[in-house]
Formats: sequence, C-alpha cells, structure tokens
Amino acid sequence: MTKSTNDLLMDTNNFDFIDDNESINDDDNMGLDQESKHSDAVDSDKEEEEQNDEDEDIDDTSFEIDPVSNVPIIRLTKKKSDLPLKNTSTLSSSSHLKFKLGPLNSQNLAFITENSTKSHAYNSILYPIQLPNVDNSKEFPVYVSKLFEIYNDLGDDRVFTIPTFGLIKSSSLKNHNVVVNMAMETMINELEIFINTLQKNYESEKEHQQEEQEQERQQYVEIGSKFFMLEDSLTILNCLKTFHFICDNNNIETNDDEQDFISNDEFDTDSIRNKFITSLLCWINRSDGQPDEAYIEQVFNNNTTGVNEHESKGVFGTIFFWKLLNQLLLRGLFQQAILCIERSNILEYLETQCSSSFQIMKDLISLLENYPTDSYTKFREWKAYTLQLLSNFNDSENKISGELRDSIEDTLLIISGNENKILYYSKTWYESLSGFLLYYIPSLKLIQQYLQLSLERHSLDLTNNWENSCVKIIQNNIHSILPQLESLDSCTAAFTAAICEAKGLLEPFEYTTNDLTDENANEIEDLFSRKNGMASYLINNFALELCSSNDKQLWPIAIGLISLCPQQNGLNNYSIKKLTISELLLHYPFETNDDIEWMLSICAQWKLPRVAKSLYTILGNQMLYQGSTIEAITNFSKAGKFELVKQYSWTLFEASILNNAPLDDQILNAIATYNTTNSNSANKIVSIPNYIIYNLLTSAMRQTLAPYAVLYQFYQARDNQEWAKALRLLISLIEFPYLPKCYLILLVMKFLYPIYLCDDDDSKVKGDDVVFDEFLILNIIESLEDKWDNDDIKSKEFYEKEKTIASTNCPSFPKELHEFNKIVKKRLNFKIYEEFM
Amino acid sequence: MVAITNAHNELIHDAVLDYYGKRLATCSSDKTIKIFEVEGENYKLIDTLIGHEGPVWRVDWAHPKFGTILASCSYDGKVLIWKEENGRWSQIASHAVHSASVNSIQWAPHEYGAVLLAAASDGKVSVVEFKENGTLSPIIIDAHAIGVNSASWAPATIIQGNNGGDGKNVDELRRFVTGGADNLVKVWKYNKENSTYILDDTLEGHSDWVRDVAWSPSVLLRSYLASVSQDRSCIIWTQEDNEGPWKKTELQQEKFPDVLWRASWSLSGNILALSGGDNKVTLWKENLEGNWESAGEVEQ
Repeated sequence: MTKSTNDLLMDTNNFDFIDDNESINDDDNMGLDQESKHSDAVDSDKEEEEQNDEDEDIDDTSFEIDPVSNVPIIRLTKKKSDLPLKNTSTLSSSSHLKFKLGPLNSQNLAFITENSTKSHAYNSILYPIQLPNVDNSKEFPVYVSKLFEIYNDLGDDRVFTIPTFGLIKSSSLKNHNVVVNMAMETMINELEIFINTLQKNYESEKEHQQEEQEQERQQYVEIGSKFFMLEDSLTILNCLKTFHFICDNNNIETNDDEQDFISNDEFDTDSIRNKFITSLLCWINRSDGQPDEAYIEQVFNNNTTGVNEHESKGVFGTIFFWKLLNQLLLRGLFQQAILCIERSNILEYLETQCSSSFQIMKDLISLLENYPTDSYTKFREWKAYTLQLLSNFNDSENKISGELRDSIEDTLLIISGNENKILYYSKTWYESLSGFLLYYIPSLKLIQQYLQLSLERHSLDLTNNWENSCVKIIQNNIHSILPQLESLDSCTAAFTAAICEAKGLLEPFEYTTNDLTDENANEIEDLFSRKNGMASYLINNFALELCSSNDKQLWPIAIGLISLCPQQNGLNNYSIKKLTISELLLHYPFETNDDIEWMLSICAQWKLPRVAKSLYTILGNQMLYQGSTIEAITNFSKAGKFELVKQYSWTLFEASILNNAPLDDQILNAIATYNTTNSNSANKIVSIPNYIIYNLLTSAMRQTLAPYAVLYQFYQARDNQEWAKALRLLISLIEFPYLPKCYLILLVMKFLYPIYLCDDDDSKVKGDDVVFDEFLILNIIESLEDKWDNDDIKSKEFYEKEKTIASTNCPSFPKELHEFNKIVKKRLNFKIYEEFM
Repeated sequence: MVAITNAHNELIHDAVLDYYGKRLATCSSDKTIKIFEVEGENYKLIDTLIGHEGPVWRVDWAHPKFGTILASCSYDGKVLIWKEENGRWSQIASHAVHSASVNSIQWAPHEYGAVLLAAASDGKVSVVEFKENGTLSPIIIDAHAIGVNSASWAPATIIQGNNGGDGKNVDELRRFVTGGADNLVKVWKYNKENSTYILDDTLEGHSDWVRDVAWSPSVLLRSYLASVSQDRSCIIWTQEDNEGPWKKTELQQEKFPDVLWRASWSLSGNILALSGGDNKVTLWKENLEGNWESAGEVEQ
C-alpha cells in the first residue's frame, strides 16, 4: 500500500543521467532548501573556478555564450598556457588573430600574425577550428538518414495543395493529413531514439571520463550540450504534434453552439482523443521533468514543516503535500498521484477519524484510476462523477476540519474543472493549460482562451529555449518557431519545416504582380530566395551543411534533399536544382569505385556532362599520382582531354623505346594485343579479361596507343628473330605521319641502325634474313627527310643520352646528330645499291 | 582540436586547405611553404617548399582536375607554381611580372582553366593562364594607384543572351574584385574582344585602406562581395542577376572594435568569417529576411 512513489515516477525528461550540478534545476521548489542549495552551488562553483585557475585550464564543461551577442564562442584551445595573446609575457599590441574558413565545417584554421619583427613561439602555431553546432557523432548520420527516409516516403504529400470543395477533394485532404501526421509522429520517434542513443553514449563516456584524453573529454562535453538542445527540440516538436498533427481541421464541424461543441468536438473519435491526451501529457511532462524525485522525497521528508495542528498527522498535514498532489493531477500523472496519496497514509488516518472523508478519498482514487483518456463520452460521465463527489464532500458531515478539509476540497475542485483552482495550483502556464484540457472542457476551440488565462497567471520563462516556441505553436504562428528550432538543431528544424509545409501550416509567399514581371522573374533562380518558402530555405541550407561535413554517407541525402524539396513557385525549379548539384558534386570525397559510380549516376540523372568531365580529369590526375598511367589516360580520354591522352600515350611509347622492351605493365600490354588477329601468344603472356580491357580502352586510346601496339609487336617479332616482319613494323612506325620527330631519332638509333643498317659485322641481321626492296628504302629516306631535325632540342637530348649508353655496345655513334644522319642515309643508299646488285 | 605547433620558424601568413580538406599548405616569413597531410585531427608535415626570396604572403590550391598544384606569392614580387608528381614537389613555373610585393593570389574557377589572379603593391593585378603546353599568357591591369591589397574571383557564371537568331547563346561572365590602398573596391569584367579585363564598377564606401575582398564562391546565391577595411567596417555588396547597381550593406551599423584584416566565405557561401585587430574572429550568416546576424565567435 505504501509503495514508494519513486518507483513509479517516470524519468519524464530522461535527465537522470545528468549530474545534479549539471542539470537544469527548476527554480521553483516552493522554498524547500532552495536557498541553501543555491548557496552550496555558488560555493561549489567558486571552488571549481579557483581549481580551474590553478590547473590553467578553461572550464569546458559548459557551452560558452557571448553575453552581448548571445552567440556561441569557440576557443582556440582548452589550455590557458596555449593562449598566446592572453599570456601577458608574450602579448604584443601588433599581434593579430587571423582566420580562414576551410572547405569542411570541421576544418578551419586560425593563426597569429604580428607586424613586429619579434619572433614568438606562438607565431608558428596553427589552430584548427570547428564551426559551432557541427554534429560529428556517429549517431547523427543514422538520425539524418531516418528523417530523410520519412521525408522521401511522403511522396506527393510533400506538397500541400489548397483544397477546393468536393467529396473527392475532402477525402484526399483527409488522406493527406493522415500521411503527414504519421510522418511527424515517426520523426518524433526517431528524435527520441537519437536522444536515447546519445544518452547511452554520454553515460559510457562519463564512466571513463577520468581516464580520457582531452579530445575525448571534449567529445563528452559536446554530447552533453547537444543532448540539451535536442531535448528542447523534442519538447517543441511534441507541442507541435499535439496541437497541429492530431486533430485536423477537416475533423472540425463548425458549430458555435456550446452544447454541440462539447458533444461533437474535434475529438470526435475516441482514438483521436486518446492520441491527443497522450501527446499532451507527453509534451508537458517531458518538457521539464517536474516534479522530480528529489523534490518528492523532500516533500515526504519535510512533514514537520506543516501547520502545527496537523503535525502529528504526517505529510498530508503539510501544504507541500497537497501542492505536489495537485501538480501531479494537473500534469495528468494519475498513477503517481494515487501512490502519493497511499504513501502519505491519509487513508489510514481518515479511516480512523472520519469515515465519510475516507470514503470520499477512496472514491477520488477510484476516479483517478479510471480517468478516460480514450473516450469523450466516458469523460462526460467521469466529469459528472467528479462533480457529484465534490457535492457529496461539501454536503457530508465530516469530522475533519480546517486546512485538511480545504485541501481535499481543492483537489476535488481541480478534477471537477474549477478554473480558479486550476490556475492557483499550477506552477507554470503549461500546467494550467493541461489542467483546463484535462478537467475543464477538452476543446481546441477554447485553446486560445486557456492560453491567455494561463499566461496571465504564469508568465513565460524566456530563459529556456522552448516555452516561447510552444506558445507560438498554440497561437498558430508556426513560422516564428523555425529560427529557434534551427538554432537548436538544423537537421530537426529542416525536416520539421518540410513536414509543416506539407501540412499547410506555413503560409506560402504571396506574389504581387510586380514579383512576376520579367525583371523579377529571374530572382526565382536563387536557391535561397524568400519566394521559395521557409521550408525550402531550411532544407537546402541543411543540404549544404551536410555537404560540408566530410561524411560520404550524408551526401546522397544532401542531393536527395535538393532534388526532392518542392519550391513553392515551381518555376525554374529544375535548372536551379541542377545548378546546385553541379556546383556541389565535385566536392564529394570519393574514395572507391562505387563512390565514382554514384557520382557518375548523378551526372547522368541530372545531365551534367561538364561535371562528369571534370570528375574524369580529377580521376586522371589521381591515377597519375598513383602511377596507373593507363587508367589515367582512360579518364583523360573520357574527360575529352585529348591533348593529355596523346601526351601520356607518347610518354609510354618513349619509355618503352628507352627500355628497349615492352613496358612492365600487364594492362598496357594486354591493350597492345587486344583485337589483333594474331594475339594468341600475347594473351598467354597477360591474363587480363577482355571486358576489363574493353572498359579501359576508349576510341581515342585505340588511336593514341596504336604506335605502342605496333612497337610491342615489333619487339615480339624481333625476339622471335622474325626480321622481315620486325622491319615492316618498324618502318610503319617511322612512316607514321603523327610520330613526334624526337622519336624518329630514337627508333633509328635503337632499332633501325643497329639491327638493319650498320656494317654487316656488327649487324644482327645478315643479308639473307631480310630483303630491303627499293620502294621500302625510299620510303624510309622520305620519312627521314621529312622528320629528321638536327636542331630539335629533344632529339638532341635523346641522341646524347643514347649515344652514351650505346658506347658500351656496338655500334658506335658519331659525335653529332647531323653526322649520324649522314651515316644513316649513306647506309640506306648502300642498301639500294645492294638491291640493284 | 589539437594545435599544430612549430609549423614554421617565423610568422605564418596564410593557411589553406585543399579542395577536399585533405592537405594543408601554410606559408611564412621564413620564406617557405609547408605542406601537411590531414588525417582526421592529425596534421603530418610532408614537404617544405623553398624558392621564394622574401616572406610568402599567400598560397592557393588549384582545382584537383589540374593535378596537385599550389600557387604562392611573396614579398619578392614573384608568384611561384608548385606541383606534386610521384610524391615529390617541384616548382613548375614562375610568374614575375610585378615590380613589388605580390599580396594576394587566387586560382580562377576551374571552368576557366588554370588561370591565376595576382594582386601586387605596384598597383597592378595580373591574370595569368598556365596552358597545357607550358606557356604563360599574362594580362596585366593597372588597378589601384597606391597598391592592391587583395583580389578575388567571382564564381563561374553563365549568362544567356539572344544571339540574334531564334536560339539563345551562352557566355561566361568572368569577373573578379580588387581592394586597394585607395580605399576603393573595384569589379573587373573580361572583355572577349580585347582579350583583357575592363573596369565594370567602382564601389566607394570605405574611408581607409581596403584590407581584403572576398567574392562569395557560390552561384546559388545572388552575387555577394565582402570588403573589410582599416576603417573598422565590413561592407557586403550585393548585385541581382549579375548586372545593375551594387547594393551596399554595412555588416553592422556600429564600427568594429579594431581594424578588420581578413574576410572569408564558407564553401557554400552561407557563412562569412571576419578576423579583426581585436583578436576576435566573428562568423556571420544572412537570415531569411536578408539581415546579417552573428553566428559565432572564435576567441582564444
């Protein structure tokens, strides 16, 4: 019977895991030990400050806010000793802090510069800075993904269309509202899951805090700050859901007659009433978590502070007990209220002192146990019982008197909907509001009056983040809550705005004729134009934020948001989205082939050939850096960078000649033998599947790598001592009209001269091995006439280099290039002579 | 975040992260440039580039499609171009057309090719294109008589116009902004016919040296310029549809506590960071109503 109420009190705001000195305390504790607590807290703060000064560390357990501008302050470092300009020994009037924003939210840099010539150690320090409100937790991407899923699933319901009259339209609106309401409910569930996960992490971080490094400690602090902001967001969302996503306008039958109004209210179905009451109580009780366990214990442990004549009776003799009980009732915490009554032993007292009062209390408990959240009809019956119970109590000749009797009467008056008592016993405006909706007339049509009455008695607490927003929500001013919500969490704000817009809660931009003139029409092209609406602004802003987060998995969501976000005007929609995506996409931090495939799929989907070409160029450069020349050439080719394709193809050709053998590159050699009729031997050497070659080889590469392929075949013929074939291949290279002149020198020096032209003693090929016909020789001479350039710098360089290498082998080369030219021509003439002979 | 200590032997003048935030380049009075690799919160020094003969004021990374390329400018009047190939950094070009300290450099939007903008104390700005065949083609303009402190490119913008026929032609609108010691901000536009940049607008608003100018990098917003000055003010200049007059908006009505040195925009152009002589960095954001509001502060 006297079970502890603590066991049943829900952790309404999930704050249990926060230390008392970190938690947000309610300032109204009805005077109980508040002062001493406060002074203790102040003392403790002072001690902490002193301690911090000694440790030379900046207190980072709280989020610093600039008192003037009210914006978050980011410190360069947490250690005072690392603060150059605060350190008087190093302070210089010419020292300046400079800052540069980076491409990512988490990477920005600050550094100190100074005009004087004095050199200080701090001059060479860089301070990486993270922008405020950046969520780097591993849970954040999961949360964002879930919200995006909800948004995506809304489909056509992302857009609110103003209903016209008609049966189909009416049912369509109803269906639309069901879908959007469900989206809001799911979003709130996801936010709760996100908060719970953060809470778990916070607890585990806290356990290890002592052993942690500075960086991890910082993360712990950040989770704490984030947690409070998300809790405030959740409170705002719970309120929004309660008043705008449960009872839809299409359910309301306008009727000014109060009687009808009560009976045919917006809670026309039991399930809606149930949802509304549950949501209302969830909002109220999670918002501040009052009354908390500590306070309840204080009430029960301070029963001697009551009025003297009741001292012997126990806790129910104190005013604090009745205030607590009434507060629980106003918040709809019926089970907790019943347990308080039972724990107070008032029933035992009344049983012995006054049987009628005892019976009244028993009936009160019974009524509380059966408060009908699920049925409006039952509520009317329930309310009739409460009025009857109140009447019975007033009429009964009970043996108790004074304050106890008054207290019981007040409680009965509250549950029977007495306006004055509801206002008197509530501590905040939202407790009054809840009291009215639970016990007076549960109607949204009276909500503005309830709100006004509540605010007249209990003013808004403007120091917290959510109260003002909740009032605005009840006043149907949804626009004005979005900036507040955004300052708490931009992700939640963006999706909330989108769902509110889908519900038709945000007023669209109203065009004037001036706005639609040709001159102003182009303004619509601006992604962040006010004409696109607030939801579009927040969604697109959030999408850009995601793109600056260096998290690959958030990118598809960002692109999805930009793609899906409806813009109210509908004009130029496609082009501005396309422009946005084209500007962002190249910043995607791709790593794998799948990432690249994804980027290319976006380019294809949005018809962005220029972006795709830039991507291929970037990839080409990356491949070059990694030494994968063929892949680089493929990418340059796909990018349309044909100059680069040519340049690197010839580089491979050059490297191979200098190497006097095919390059040790399996892919390149596979390409060289790809699609050749006599490629059996080559395919045996390199086992690269044909489809890989097919994917790598572009039309441009077929042309630019053709000289290398011929050279490769030349090597094979040479190695097999098929001299005639080798000569034919070599001459086809020499005659190639696009062969750079420097490579002609190389081909002649490395192959033609030593193998076929030099004196028979030195030549590898004997007269019988190969026949030089006249026509062949004349073609070679013609090519030499056309391309041989004794003054070409690169040709000279090659000659000098190869001459040195060749000096150790036969044959020997003359000193100058032009002399070599003469020798070659002479040998060719000799070959003609031989042919005639 | 962990501070990077002992980055240079003398004053650091600039620190810039590359396109993906994977590399950091810093420059200093010690005449060197340092390249760091960024791995999470760790910065690993990978190379020190030596080539300048005076303090190095600024560095800027080229778009990755041109490879790993960095430009630097110095008191020695030179602009040097550095490239990394096979893990090694080397100087690949030198641009020495200025007769005094080169105070600012910036690579153009990648759509224009490898084009670099340099502003110098000799009062000139130069726009130099590094062609694939290795040649340079500089355009030199007299910009601000006493000296140019800063220059910044506009994002690549496509403008549409009737070509006289039925169809529409598209053209690039190449522009940049300069800020000088004559207290002026000037907007320059490329003239295709003369193959040079001509003065498009002169913006008067500052009463002392313009220390820095920054053009918002995003084309998603209307054109935004931020200019900061010795006169302790920051002006946001906006233009609709890339034509017409520039609208002047003081970032805040009252003067800043001290000289403003630097202005920089975030990638998406929605955050502006200002650093001032009061050793405070303020972050600014434009709200839906078009008012500029503080979004945070960086203090030591």
